[in-house]
Amino acid sequence: MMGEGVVASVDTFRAVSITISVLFMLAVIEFIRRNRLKERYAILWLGAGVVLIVLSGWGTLLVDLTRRLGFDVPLNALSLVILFFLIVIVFHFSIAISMESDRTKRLAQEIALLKERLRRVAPEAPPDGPAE
Amino acid sequence: MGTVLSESRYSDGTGAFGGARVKKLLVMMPAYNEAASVAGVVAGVRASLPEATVLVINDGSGDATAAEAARAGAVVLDLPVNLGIGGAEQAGYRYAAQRGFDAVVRVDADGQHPAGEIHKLLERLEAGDVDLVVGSRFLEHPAGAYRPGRLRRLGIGFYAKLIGLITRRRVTDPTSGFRAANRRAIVRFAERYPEDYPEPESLVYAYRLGLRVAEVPVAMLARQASVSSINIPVGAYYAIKVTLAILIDLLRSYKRRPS
Repeated sequence: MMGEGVVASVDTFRAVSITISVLFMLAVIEFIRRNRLKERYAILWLGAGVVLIVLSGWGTLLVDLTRRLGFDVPLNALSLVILFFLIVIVFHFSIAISMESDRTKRLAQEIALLKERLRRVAPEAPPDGPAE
Repeated sequence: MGTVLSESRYSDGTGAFGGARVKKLLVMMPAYNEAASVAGVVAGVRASLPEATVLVINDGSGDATAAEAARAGAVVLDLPVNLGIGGAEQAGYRYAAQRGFDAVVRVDADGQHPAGEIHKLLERLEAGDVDLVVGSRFLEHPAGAYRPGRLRRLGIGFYAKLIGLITRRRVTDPTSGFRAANRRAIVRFAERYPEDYPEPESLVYAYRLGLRVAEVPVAMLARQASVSSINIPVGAYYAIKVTLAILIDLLRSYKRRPS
C-alpha cells in the first residue's frame, strides 16, 4: 500500500519523467534532422518516449501500474518499462548489426572479385588499391 | 510536340535545361527478383524508344534478374547487396549524373508502367517549366484502368493530403514511381535521395529543394508477375516511417540552386 507521502511525490516524479522524455525525443528528432540517425532506427526510441510520456501523464495510469506490479514507488514501475524497451531496442540493434556485417562481407568480396577481373582485363592497372 | 532523341552527347554540363529537347535519355528500372518480367519490360522500352539507354539496377536479387536484363539489351548495375528501392534508384541517378544524361525516366520492372506512356512524361518535361514529372493514375479515369485495392488507396489518399498540405500543390498519385526527371533533378537526387520506399518522401524533398514538380495523367497496368512488396504490417511500418521522414524533412533547410 502506498503512503500519503509517496502519492504526493508522484506529481513531481511525473513532471521530471515527462520533461526528460520530451527532451530526449527532441534530441532524437534533431539527430534525424542532421542526417546522423536514420528514421528506421529512431522509431523505437520515439515509441519509447511516447509510451513514457503517456504513462507519466495519463491520469492515474502510472500509480495504477505501480500498484498492479506490486511496487512501492512509481520509479520502479517506470524502470521496468524502460528496461523492457532497452532490451527490445538492443536486440533489434544486434539483428541490424548482424545484417550489416553480412552486407559488408559481401561488398568486400565483390570488390576483391572486381579487382581480380580488372587485373585480367587491364593488366597495366596498378595491382593494389590502398591497403586497408 | 514529339520526342526527338539523338545520339549527341549532353555537353554543356551546366545542368541548365529549359524548354530544350531531351538529347540523351536514360530509362531506368530498379528491379528486385523480377526475372520473370524484366526482359519483356526492357524489350518494350527499347522498341518504343530505340535511342534511349535502358538501365536495370538489380537490387541484390536472388534470381536471374541481372542476366535476363542483360540478355534483353539493358545496361545492368548489379548491386551486390539489397539497398531497397530508394538506394537502387539513387544508383541510377548517380549513373545518369556521371554519364551526362539530361533526362531520366524511371519505370517499374514488373510491367506496371507501359512503355507507350513514357512519351507523355517526356513531352511534359520538354516543355521546360518543370524538373520532375510524375505519371498519375488518378488524374483521368479511362475505362478498364488499373485501380489499386482499398487499403492501398487509403495510403495513397493519406500521402496525397499530407504532401498537398506541405507543398500547397495538388498531388493525386504520391506513390507513383512512373517519373521523368531533368538534369537539374538528376544532379540533386544523385547527391541525396530518400531510402526504402522513396516516392512520397521524394516529392516533399523535391519541393524543398526548389524543384518544380508536375503530374500528368497516365495509364498503368496491373503487375505482370510479382506481387507488391508491401503487406499490411510492413505497410503500417512504412506509413509511420515515411510520415516521420516527411515531417522531419520540414525541419531541414536546403540550399535552393538556380535552374
